[in-house]
Amino acid sequence: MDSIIQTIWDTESLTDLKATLDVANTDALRPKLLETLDPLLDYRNMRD
Amino acid sequence: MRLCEALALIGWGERTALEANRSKAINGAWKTRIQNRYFEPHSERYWRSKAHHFILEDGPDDHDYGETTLASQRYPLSKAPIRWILSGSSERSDPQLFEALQDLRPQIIERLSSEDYGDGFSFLGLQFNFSRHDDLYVKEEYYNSESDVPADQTLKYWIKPRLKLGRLTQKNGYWHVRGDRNFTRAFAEKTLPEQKTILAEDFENALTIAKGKLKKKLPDYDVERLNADPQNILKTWRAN
Repeated sequence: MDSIIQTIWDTESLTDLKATLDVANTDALRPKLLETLDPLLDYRNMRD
Repeated sequence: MRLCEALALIGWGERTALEANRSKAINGAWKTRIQNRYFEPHSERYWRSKAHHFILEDGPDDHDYGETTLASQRYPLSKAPIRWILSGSSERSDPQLFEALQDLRPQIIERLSSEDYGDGFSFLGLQFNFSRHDDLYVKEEYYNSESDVPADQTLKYWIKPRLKLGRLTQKNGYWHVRGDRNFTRAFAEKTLPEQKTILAEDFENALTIAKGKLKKKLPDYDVERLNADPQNILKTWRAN
């Protein structure tokens, strides 16, 4: 798993998550998030 | 949940935004739901707990995949600022009114969005409780005042306020307020146009009360427009 996806996955605090995303390259991150999300939407749709 | 939350924060781009929520079903099972901003489900799944983990009710096996928590995303999509749910007896006891309210719902959902008025407010939620005086299974009715109860009342009854809003509550940085509107037998015996007129007044009254609460907490939120926009929708709804 990509390291930033892993970081998002592991970040419990919403404030910390916002801070991580504030400094991320969102245009590059968005497709990675969607690529990770799509298989989950069809099966284990609420994995934390 | 975490992925939907992250996408809500950075924006979904050209894809339809989805929101991940967890709730408890009436049978006690945990339900997870992926929905869009119109509350249309992308998927709904039920889970049961086994030892320290959750497994899908219709999953392929009982293997522990490590699902120890189910959660709702904390950064919700902007959705309709006015929402309501109907008591269980409503469809049976007054199908015409039930249908009229079901017609109103998508108009509110499609045309209003909480972020159009500013930041920080999520929704005004109303529970519509209808008198069960003609229910086949549980007969009881509501009065708004003890003085309204007839001397020959035989059915079990409850005195409930006509409209009551709770406190403005904050969850993950967003405020919401919930309330109850309790309808009496007298309301049920009115014609549909009369009922629609009363309901439109109820929405207006509830929004006015919510406005007073919001002004103190969110002075920059455009409560005047939040109150005005639904009136146009309700005016058309009443006329049809």
